[in-house]
Amino acid sequence: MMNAHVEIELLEALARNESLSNRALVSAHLAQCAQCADELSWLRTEGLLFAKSTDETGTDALWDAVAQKISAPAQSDAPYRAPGVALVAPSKPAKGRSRFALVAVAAALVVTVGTVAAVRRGHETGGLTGASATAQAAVEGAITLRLRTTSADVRIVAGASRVVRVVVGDSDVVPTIVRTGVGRYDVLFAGGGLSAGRVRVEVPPESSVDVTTASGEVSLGALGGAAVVHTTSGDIEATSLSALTAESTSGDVTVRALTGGAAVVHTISGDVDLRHVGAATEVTVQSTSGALTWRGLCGRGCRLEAHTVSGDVRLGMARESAATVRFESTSGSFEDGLATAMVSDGPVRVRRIGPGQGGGGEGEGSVQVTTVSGALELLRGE
Amino acid sequence: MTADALPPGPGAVVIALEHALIERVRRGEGAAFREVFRLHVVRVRGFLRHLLGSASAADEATQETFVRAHAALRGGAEVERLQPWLLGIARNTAREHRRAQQRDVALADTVSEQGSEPVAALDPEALLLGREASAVLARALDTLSEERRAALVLRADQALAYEDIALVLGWNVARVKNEIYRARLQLRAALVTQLEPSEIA
Repeated sequence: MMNAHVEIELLEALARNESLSNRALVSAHLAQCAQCADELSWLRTEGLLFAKSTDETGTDALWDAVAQKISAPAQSDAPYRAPGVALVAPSKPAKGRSRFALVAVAAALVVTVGTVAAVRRGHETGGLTGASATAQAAVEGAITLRLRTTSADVRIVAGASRVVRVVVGDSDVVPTIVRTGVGRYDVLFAGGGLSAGRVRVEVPPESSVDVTTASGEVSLGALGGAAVVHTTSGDIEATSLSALTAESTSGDVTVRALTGGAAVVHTISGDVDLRHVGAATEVTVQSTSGALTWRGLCGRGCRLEAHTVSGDVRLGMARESAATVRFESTSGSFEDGLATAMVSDGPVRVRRIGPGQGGGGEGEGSVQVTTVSGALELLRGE
Repeated sequence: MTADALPPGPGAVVIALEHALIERVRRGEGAAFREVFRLHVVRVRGFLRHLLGSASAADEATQETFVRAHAALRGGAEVERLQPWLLGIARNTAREHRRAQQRDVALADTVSEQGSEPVAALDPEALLLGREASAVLARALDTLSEERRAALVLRADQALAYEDIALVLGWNVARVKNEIYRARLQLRAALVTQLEPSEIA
């Protein structure tokens, strides 16, 4: 069985219906060799028996028991801390401000405070219902704004060119705008954090934002600048950004209109949906079980990398796209809805998309997808 | 005829993804360990089910395996690849479980002679229609020693590479291949003895 005929590893692969480049040669041998055919039959029987004995039910109850023993949460609600980023501590009715607030205020004292922060109650809410407090400051133009909350929802939009305005709704917490450097501002909340309610922020067009929230949702509307967003379970939604760095544990990440910059998205279980992606945009998505949907144009200067463990990857390629697609997976399937040209079909499947779908790679984009069990689907997109 | 067309093991990027997940577990993210659990629980439980021969014992050992894995990861254990590492913990847990139950697992020698010659193949459909598959397999696996059974399950059910099986069991690759070869012969002999003549094609 071991060496006399077809190698056992090859017969095992045949029994599992894996594709083999020398299948025809093996089949011809099997037709003439009863011993090898017999061995293959046994291996198939063995595979069927093990497959019939697999039980995938009841794992939730097992997890509950494990979570109890390790004192880990049964749901994906553990605080997620991105490297180098500290979450704001929950609001305390304490004697003073949080460490973050103290640092920010100290920084604000060092630099020239050229803003006037006005706090008004019940005025200029920007359409936010239940508004309780507003802070506003004059600025010179596009800024970089940093905001931390624990569980409040955050919406940031482009507003007037020389004003930054913060409106808090459904909460008694009062916001403060603090200048921390040239063109840099922090939004602070009394007590150090905002654990409930909603925040609406207006910044000058082309501004950049840096938002961290544990469970709140983050919505960024047509800012035109770059965004850095960290959430634990909150969803992230953004429109018209030049660049995005987003990290989320279980929150979904949805971006529409990403043009010319770079997007780096990391999630554990959150799905990622990137639409209207520009031809020269660089996108890197890393997820454990979250799925990636990418729709756009991939051409010269485009680089798309997607690495998932079990998350499926769907790529909707615009008709004008020209790119080389490389797909490597342990067990994930590959569905080619574009009838791409095959460049190679080994462990790393390589396909070419583009006019004529032949030839080599000058001036084309690069798509690299790696999964453990996640599938890759190529289809015609926008 | 060689197996040069066989797919390789996980690539560097996949391993890097696993390392990122491990690092998150080390940092104390409950969600990350839940992801480890979700990705590997079916394989670990299946392995333990075949080793212990009982669903309830396998569930108990599965919990213990993941609790130990969590403690090890939080304690900074060096892990190159999660699957063989977890299966190694599972195997140790199963051995302790069986010792605790004082069950006799040394049955292999009684059938080793009978399994030393090639056995005529069966019709898989006849086999599966004639007996409830998991019960048939459990009885056949129960005729193998714990070590041999572990090696066969890791190969036939978990589809592990010989090198990974060697890692799990602490053997060299030559011994892994040899034990799996003998395990298969024994398993087939045990399957044949379970069937009525009419069920053999």
